[in-house]
Amino acid sequence: MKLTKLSLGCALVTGLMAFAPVQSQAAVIDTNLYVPLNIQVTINYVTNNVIKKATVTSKDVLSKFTDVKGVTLAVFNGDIVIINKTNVIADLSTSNYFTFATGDSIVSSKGTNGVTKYSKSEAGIVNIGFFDDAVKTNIQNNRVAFTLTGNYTLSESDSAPSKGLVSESVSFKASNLSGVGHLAVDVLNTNLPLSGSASASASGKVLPDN
Amino acid sequence: MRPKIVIFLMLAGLAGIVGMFALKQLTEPRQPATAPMTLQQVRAVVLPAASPVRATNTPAMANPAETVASSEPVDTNALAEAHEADIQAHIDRLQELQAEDDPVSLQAILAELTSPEKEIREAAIEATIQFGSRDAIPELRELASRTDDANEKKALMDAAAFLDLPKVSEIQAQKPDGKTQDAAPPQDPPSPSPQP
Repeated sequence: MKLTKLSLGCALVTGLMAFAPVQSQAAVIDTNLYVPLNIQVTINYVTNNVIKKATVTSKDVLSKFTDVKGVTLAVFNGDIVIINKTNVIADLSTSNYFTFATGDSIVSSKGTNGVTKYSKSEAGIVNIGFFDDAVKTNIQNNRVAFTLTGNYTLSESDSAPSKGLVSESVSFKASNLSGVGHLAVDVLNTNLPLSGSASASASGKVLPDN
Repeated sequence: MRPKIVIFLMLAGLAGIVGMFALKQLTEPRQPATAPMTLQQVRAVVLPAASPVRATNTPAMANPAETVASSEPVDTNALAEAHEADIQAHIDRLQELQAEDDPVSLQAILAELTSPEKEIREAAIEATIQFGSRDAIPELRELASRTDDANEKKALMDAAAFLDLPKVSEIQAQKPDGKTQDAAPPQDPPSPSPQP
């Protein structure tokens, strides 16, 4: 009988493991939501009198600062930061490597954040800048730099608070961005045309915004 | 011990096992004539239609909600919220996987390219780009050739084309002294642009 119980127990545990929910709280650090940011940029440059293209992603950006394994570029309170599963490793905005700003926004919302169930939709213009030598004043004084601008949409939903926390979900999309950049290998040493996109999405149990 | 006794004990044991099995069959509750609606069936009613991409790979991550079956009344709002949470959990997981650099993580990302959920497939394309491996290009092109959705086909082909381009870091590795050579102020002022 003990063997039967053990077999049933093993089968139950195996079954539970096989159908364990896909749960991730990687974006939540100290009850704050850090929203992982994906950037992809295609930059045009000239070499040997030929226009060529090269790419930059969030992972490429990260590789300039740290071992990329297990770390993510993320947005928090308008700052671009590097996070792992438990900690903020660096703030790239306060150290002048990154800029991220939204403006000309229009907003529609329903409910009261932190009091009732809440949802928000937002649209506007986003400006994103990256400067690998932290020289924001002159883009060409960086080895790699780019500034991107274009339309974005943002949606946010929050549950009503429970035990002081809300279940928050955020999704940001900016599909058609354009701008200029600099690549040190470009022989013309000028601002280079580029295109790109940015997206960010995360969810988790966090402190209400207000 | 005598062989007769051993045989007797073995037969007695066998009879005991058969008895337990029979008892278990008798005590198990019978299946109802009409099975309760599963969450998957409910989704088919309350949520948008499935993907235009035909799933051929085994999903990398199990969908826990599909294992739920209840005879209690179904709260469609709660189900829709659970469904959204499940999708977001997959997206969060993809973001974790893209930060890795091993073939297993890449395969897990590629498997999500055929998820029945469009949002997950979109996130999987993004994760494939961010993962940054050219090993993904054949899979992206293969899926693009099989999908009927024009937007999704373009997204898959664009992702393959993006991965096919050199990375800035690769170009700089070929020319590591680029900054010294090019970032200094130019010796001569740039020639004026022709006026229109």
